[in-house]
Amino acid sequence: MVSVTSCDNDFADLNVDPTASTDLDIKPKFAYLFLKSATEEYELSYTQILCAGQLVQQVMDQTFPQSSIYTVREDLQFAWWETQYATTIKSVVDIINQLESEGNVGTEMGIARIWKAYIFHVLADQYGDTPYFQAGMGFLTGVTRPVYDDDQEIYMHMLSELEAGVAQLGSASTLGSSDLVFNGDTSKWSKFGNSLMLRLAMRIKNVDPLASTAWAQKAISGGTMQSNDDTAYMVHTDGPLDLNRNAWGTYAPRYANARIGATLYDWLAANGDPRLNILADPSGPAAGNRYGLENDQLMALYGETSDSYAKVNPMITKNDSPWVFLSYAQTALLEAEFAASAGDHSTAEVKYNAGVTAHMQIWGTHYDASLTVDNTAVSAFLSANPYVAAEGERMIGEQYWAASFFDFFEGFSNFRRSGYPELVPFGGHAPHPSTTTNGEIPRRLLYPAGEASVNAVNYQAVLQAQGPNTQVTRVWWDVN
Amino acid sequence: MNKNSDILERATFSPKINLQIKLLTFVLLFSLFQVNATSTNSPEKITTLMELNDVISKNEIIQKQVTGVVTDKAGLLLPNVTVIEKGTNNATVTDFDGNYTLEVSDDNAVLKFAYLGYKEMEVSVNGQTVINVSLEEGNEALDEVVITAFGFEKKTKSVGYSITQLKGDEVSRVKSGNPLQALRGKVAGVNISNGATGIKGSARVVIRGNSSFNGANQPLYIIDGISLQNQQLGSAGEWGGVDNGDGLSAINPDDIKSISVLKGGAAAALYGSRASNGVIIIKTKDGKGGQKKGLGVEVTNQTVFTSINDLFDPQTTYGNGVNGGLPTDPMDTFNSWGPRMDGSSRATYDGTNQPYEYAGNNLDKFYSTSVNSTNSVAVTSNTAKGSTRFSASHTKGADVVATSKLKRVSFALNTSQKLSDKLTFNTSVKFTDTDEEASPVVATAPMSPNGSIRYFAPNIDVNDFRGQYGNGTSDGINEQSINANFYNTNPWFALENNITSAKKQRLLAAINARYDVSKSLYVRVQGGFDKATNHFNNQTINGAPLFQPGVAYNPAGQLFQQTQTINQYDADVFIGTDNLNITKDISVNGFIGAGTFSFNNEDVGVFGNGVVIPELYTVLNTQSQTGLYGYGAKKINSVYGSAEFSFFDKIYLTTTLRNDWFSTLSAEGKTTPNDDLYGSASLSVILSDLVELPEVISFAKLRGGYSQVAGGASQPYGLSLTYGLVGSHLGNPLGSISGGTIPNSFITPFEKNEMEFGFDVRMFDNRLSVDFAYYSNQTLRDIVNASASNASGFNSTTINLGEITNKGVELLLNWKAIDENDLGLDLTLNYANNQSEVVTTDESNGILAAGVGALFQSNIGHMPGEPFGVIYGSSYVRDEQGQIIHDVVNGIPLPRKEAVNKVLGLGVAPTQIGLGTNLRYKDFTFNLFLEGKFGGSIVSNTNQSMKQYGLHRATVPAGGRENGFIPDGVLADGSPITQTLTGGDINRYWTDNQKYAVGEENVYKNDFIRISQLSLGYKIPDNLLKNIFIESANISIVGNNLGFLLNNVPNHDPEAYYNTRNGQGVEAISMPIGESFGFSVNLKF
Repeated sequence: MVSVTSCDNDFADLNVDPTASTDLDIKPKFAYLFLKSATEEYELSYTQILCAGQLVQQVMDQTFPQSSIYTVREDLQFAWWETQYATTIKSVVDIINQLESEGNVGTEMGIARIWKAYIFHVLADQYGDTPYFQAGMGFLTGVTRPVYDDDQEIYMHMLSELEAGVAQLGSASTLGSSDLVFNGDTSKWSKFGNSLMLRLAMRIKNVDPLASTAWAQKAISGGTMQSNDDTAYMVHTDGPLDLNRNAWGTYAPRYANARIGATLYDWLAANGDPRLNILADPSGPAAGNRYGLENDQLMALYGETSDSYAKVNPMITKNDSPWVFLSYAQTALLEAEFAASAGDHSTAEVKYNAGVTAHMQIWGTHYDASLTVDNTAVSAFLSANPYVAAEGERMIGEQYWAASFFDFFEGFSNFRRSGYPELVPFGGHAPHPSTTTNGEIPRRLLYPAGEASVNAVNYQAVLQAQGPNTQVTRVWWDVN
Repeated sequence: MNKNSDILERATFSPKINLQIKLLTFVLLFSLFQVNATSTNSPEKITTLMELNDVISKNEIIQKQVTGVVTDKAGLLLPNVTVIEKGTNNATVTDFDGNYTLEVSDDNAVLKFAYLGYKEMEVSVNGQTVINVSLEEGNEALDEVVITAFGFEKKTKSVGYSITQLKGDEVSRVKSGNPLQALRGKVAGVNISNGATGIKGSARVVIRGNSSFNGANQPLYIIDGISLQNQQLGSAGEWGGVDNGDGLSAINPDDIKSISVLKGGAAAALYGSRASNGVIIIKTKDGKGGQKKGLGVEVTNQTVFTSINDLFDPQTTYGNGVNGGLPTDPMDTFNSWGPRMDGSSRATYDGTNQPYEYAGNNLDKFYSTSVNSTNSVAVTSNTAKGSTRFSASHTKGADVVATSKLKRVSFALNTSQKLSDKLTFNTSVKFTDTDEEASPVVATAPMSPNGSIRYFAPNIDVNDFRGQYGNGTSDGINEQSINANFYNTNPWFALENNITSAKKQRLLAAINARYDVSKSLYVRVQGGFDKATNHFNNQTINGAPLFQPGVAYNPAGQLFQQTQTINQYDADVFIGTDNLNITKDISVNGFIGAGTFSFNNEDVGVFGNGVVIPELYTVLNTQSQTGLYGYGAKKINSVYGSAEFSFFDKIYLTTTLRNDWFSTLSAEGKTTPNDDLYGSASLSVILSDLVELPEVISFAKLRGGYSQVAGGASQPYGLSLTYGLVGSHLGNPLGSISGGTIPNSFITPFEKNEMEFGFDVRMFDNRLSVDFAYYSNQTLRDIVNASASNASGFNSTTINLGEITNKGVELLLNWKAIDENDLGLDLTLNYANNQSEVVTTDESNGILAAGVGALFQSNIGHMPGEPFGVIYGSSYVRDEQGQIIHDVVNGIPLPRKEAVNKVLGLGVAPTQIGLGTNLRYKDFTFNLFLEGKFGGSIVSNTNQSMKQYGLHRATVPAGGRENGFIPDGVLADGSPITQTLTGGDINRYWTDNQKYAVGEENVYKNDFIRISQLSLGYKIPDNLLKNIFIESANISIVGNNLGFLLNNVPNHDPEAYYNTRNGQGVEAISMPIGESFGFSVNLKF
C-alpha cells in the first residue's frame, strides 16, 4: 500500500510560483512607485482630465460633459482614489515597511516619507477625509477595511512627515537611477520636500492661519526649489508599454474630443500670453471649447461641435512628454502669495515674475525645444502685464491656475482655497437642468460607490464626520 | 456550529494524530475485504494479494462440471455474463463467445446468470451438464443499470442517491455547439444556461444550486474515466470580451453513448473535492454499441439553419432628434427623441436629404441566416476478443454574425480488448481540432457588432453605413463613424474587420485495465490525460477588447497573440471485489484505491502596439512589442474506498471514505491542514420487495444518504505574498507586490455537507413512474475572496469564512400514456426548486461582488440572508403605498432615485421545469421539449440604452408623445401628479434625471417557457432496405429554441447573459440568440 506520509511530499514546493519572488530589492520598488505616481491613461483620463480638468475649465471633452454640467458619472469621479490605493500607496507602504525591517533611517527612508506625503496630499485634497494611517496595509496588518482619517489630522501628519523626511536625507542615496525623479540628488529631494511643505502650508491658510504661516516659514527657510532645474518631473519614453509613455500621449488618440477650454483660451489670448500657442494647438481652430453645454446645446446655440475648438497641442502631449509632479513655477508663485499676504509686495513681485517666467520656459526646456519662449518674449509679457500689488492675490492665483495645467487636481485645489481664478459656472449659460450641485461649482470628488458596502461602517462614519458623499460637501481646508 | 472554534480545533489538531486515524481507517477498510474474501474458503488470515490468490485456487474442490452458452434473445453471444452457483461464492464469467464452464458442488445446485442490462435468470442444474440460456433484456426497474463513480456500473435499485442517465441519442438528436446544451431542462435539479455569446460560447451547468462564492460551481466532468478540463477560454467582463468556449465544446455529440448526472454529494463523494458541485459522467460509444457482430458503419449528417428571433421590438413612430425636434448634430443617429416620422425629406447625417420615415428592421438587415452542418462517420467492429469504434466528425458553421465562423474536426477511437481470460484493456483516444474566426465582442460597444445595431433611430438605415467598400470603412481600412461617440463602433466595421481567431487542439487519452486476480478480487488501473493547446490571435485582455487597427477610437491598433497549453492528468489504481457473499443473504461490493490528479497551464503571449504595414495582422508588424508569460500548477492526491453491502438483494448500504491532499493549500512550515478526510453513507430500500403494496405499484424504492465533500483552493500560489516585475523604465526594472488579493497562509479545506432522501415509485405496470428527491446542502468555511476596501491596497482577501445553504426538491414524472405496437406516447415532466441562502460572506458580512451590471446601476453580489447571486442596485424612492415619489425639477416631475443598494431580483432562477413529449406512430417519431425557469430576473442594458435613446416602446405613451402622459406616482408632498408631459418633456423625463439608468427600471423578471427542442423523425421501414446494403436509415427534421410560450423581457432573449460565470443575471450588448431549424440523416450499414 502507498505510504500515506508521501501523499503530499512535494506539495509545498509545487505551490511556489516559479514566475514570482517572495522578496524584492527596494530599487525596483521605488522605480515602480515613482513611475506609477506619474499617472496612467485610465486614471488620468477619467479623473484628472474629465473631472478636474473640466472643473477648472482648462480642458473640455464633449463626449464626457458630466463635470462641466455638474452631473455625476461615478467612475470618472473615483478612478483616481481606486488606482492610487492599489498602486502607489500600497507600494510606498511596502517600501517603508521594508526599510524599517532593514533598519534604514537615512536617505531612502526620507525619500519614501516625503513621497508618501506627496501621494496622499493629492488624494486628501480631492476627496477630503480618506484612509491614511491604516491605508495600504492589507497584508502587513490584515486591515481590509481602513478607517477614514480626518483631513486635518492627515495634513498635520503629512507636514511633520515632510519635516522628518527632509531631516533624514543624507548627502547621497543608494537608489541611483531607480530614483526616477531626481536620480539620487538628495539636495533636490530636500528642496522638493520643503516645496511640498510650502504647498501644504498654503493650503491650510484659511482654516489654520497660524500653523500655515509657521509651516510656510519653515519650508522657505529650509530651502525650496530655485529654478526649473529643481522641478520634480518624470521623464517618459515612447513605449514599450503604455506605462512608459506620457499618459496624455496614449490618451489623446482615444479621446479625440479633448479640447482647450474657452476659459483658459480666452484668458491666454486676452493677455497676449505666449503660452497660448504652446497649450493650444496652433494649427487648429482659434477658439476654446465653450463651457457647461452638452453637444446638442452647443449646436443649437452656436452651431458648433468639438471640432470648432482648439485641441491640446500635440507637441506637449507626445508619448515622451514629461509629467510634472511639482514645479518651481508653482513654488515661486506660492512664495509670492506668502509674501503678498504679509504685505511684502517687492518679494511678491520677484517671485511672481520668476514663477511666470519658469512656467513659460519649461515647455522649451522640458517638452520640446521648438516651444522655447525666450527671455525677450517673457519680458515683453511681464511688462505688458506687470504685477500690481492691489491685484496681487488674484494675479498670483490666476498664474498658479495656468501653471498647474495638466495637474488639474492642483489647479482645482488652489482654486477652491484661493478663489482664483474666478470661475463662472456653466460659462455664464443657464444651469444645465440636470445639475446635481444646484448649479454651483463642485467642491470635491466622490468616493467609490463600492465603499458603502465593502467598508460600510467606516464609510458611514466618514459621512457623519464630513458630510454626504456629494460634490458640494467641502473638504476641511475649503472655507473660502 | 461555531465556525471559529471549529477552525481553532482544526488548527490545533495534531497532524500526526490525524494521520494515524486516517491510516487506521484505511487499514480497517482494507482488512474488511480480506476477511470477506477468505470467509468461505479459508479461516487462515491472509496478508498479501498473492497469497489470497493462491489460497483461493488451492481450496477449490473439483466436483461436477457444467458448461453452456449464453446468448440474448436475438441469439447474440453474450460475453462477461456472471454465472454463480447460488448461495456460494463459486462463480465464473462467460468468454467472448458466451461460453462458460463451472464446477458445481452437487446436482441440485442452482445457477444464477447475471448480466447488467438483462434480467437475472436462475436455472436448476438437476443433473444436466450442458445448460444453454438466453437472457432477456431487462426493461424492468430492477435490472436497469447506471454508471456511477469511476465508471462502475450499478443496478439502479441499489443506488441510494439521485442519479439521472441520458442516452446518447438524446444528446445528438438536436446538436448544438456545446453537447451539454442538449440537456437543458431535461434533468431535474440541473440548471443549464448558455451565454448570449454565439455558437462558440460556453455553457454554465449548476447542479442543486451554487455552493461556492469563488469556485466555478460547475460539476466535474468525467469522460471515459478521466477528468475533462473545462476551463473557460475567455469570457466577457464589465468592459466586454469574447467567449471562446469551454472544454466541453470539444466533445462530439455523436460519440456520446450516455451521460450520467450524479447530482448529490453521496453520488459524488468518491470523486472527492472536485466533485463538490456534482459529477457528469460521459461515456463515449464503443464497438459494443453496434447491434451486430463484425463490421458496422454509421453515417450521420445534421444541417441546421439559424436566424435571429423576432424579440427586438423598438418604437417605429419617432425618428432621430432631441426634445421632440430634429437633431441639432447631424451625427446624432441614436437619439430617437425627434418628431413623428412623416416621410418628409430631411437633412441627414451625411448632409444629403432622405425621407424621414421608418427605415425597416436593422437587425434583420444586419444579421444573416447561418448554416451549421455536422457530418460524422463511425466504423465499429465486434469480434470475439473485443470491440473497436472509430469515428470522424466534421462541423462547419457560422453565427448569425456572418463572419464569425467555426470549423471543427474530431476523431475518436475506442477499443476494448480481452488480452487474456483475466486481463481486459480499454483505451479511448480523442483528438479535436477547432478553428474559430471572428468571435463577436459582447458586453461592451467598442468593436462589438451587437451594440450600435440596436440603438439606431428608426429612420436610420444600417445599410447606409456599409460605405463604398461595403465593410464599414471610409477608405477600405479606417472605420466610417456612425455617430459622434466613436466607442460605438460601426457594426459593419465590427462585422467585416474582426480579425480575432482561435485555433484549439485537444487530445484526450484514457486507458483502463482490469486484471481479475481471482474470482472475487480484481485490480484495476485507469489513467489518462487531457491536453489542450490554444492559439489566440488578437484576443481580449482583462475583459477589454483589443484595439482593432483602423477602428476610430484607436486607429493605430494593438494586436495580441497568445499560445496557451493546459494539461491535466489523472491516474488511479483500485483493488476490489465484486459480489462477495458474506452470508447467504449478505454480499458486498467494494474497493479501495489511490489516485492523483494534476493540472498545469502555461501562457505565452506577445502584445504589439501600433500596426505598421496596414492589413498585415501579425504581432511583429507593430511599432513595439511586450511579452507575457504565465504558469500555474496544482495537484491533488487521494486515497479512498467504497463498500456496498447488499442485504437479501433488497436493502443496499453504500459507504465511502476519501482523503484528499491539496497542493494549493500547501506551503513550507504551514501549520494548518492541507488535507481532509470525509465520507458518505447511503441506503436504498426496495420497499416493494419487503412489504405488500397495492397492486398498482409495481416497484417502490426509498433512498437516503448523507455525505461530506471537502475542497481546496482552486488557484495555486495564494498562500504567500510575491513580487513581480511589470516592465522597466529608463533601464530600471519596475517591481511591486503581485496581485490584488491578500494572501493567507492559514487557509484550510472547505467542506460541503449534503443530506438527501427520495423515492422511486413505478405504477400501473411501470407505465407511470415518479422519482422524487429532497436535498439540503451546506457549504462551510468556503474559501472566499472577500472584498477588501481598495484603501487597504488590495481589492480582496482570501479567508475560510463563506457559508451557503441550498435546499431543494426534484421531481421527475414519466408517463407512458400510450404503449401500443404502432402508437406510443411518452410524457415526461421534471420540476426542480432550489432555495439558496447566503449565510456568511466575510467578517463584517458585507456584499461579495460577483458581477457588474455594465453601467454600474445594478450589480450582482452575495448578501447574507439573501439567495446566491442577487441583483442589487439603485431604486425608486416610494412612499408607504408604494407610489414612486417625484420631485419637480425645472418644471417637470422626475422620479426620485435612491442610490442605496437594494435587492432588485434574483440572478439565478430558483424554479425550473422541463416537459418532454415523445410520440411514436409506426415509423414516425415526434419529440417536443419545453423548458421553463421561474423566479429569476435579468438586468437589461439593452433596454436601458433603448430607453436612454428614446427607442424603447416604454418611451412612447399610448396616445403618442404629442398627447403625452402623466407620470405614475406622487409628488413629494404626497399629492398625485396631474401634469401631462408631452413632446420634449418626455425626453427630459427619461434622460435628465437618468430615469433610464435607475437600476430598478431595467431589472426584468425573466420567467419564461421556451420551446426548446423539436424533432420529427422517420425510420425507413426495414422491408424497403431489404435488398440494399443499408441496415437502417433515419431522417428527421430538428428545431432548436423555436420561441416562447411565456416571456416578459422585451427586446432580447430572457437569458441573454454576457458570460457564464458566477455573476449571472446581466445582459449587455448580447448576441441575439437564434432560432434554428434543420434536418438530420442517419444511415447504418
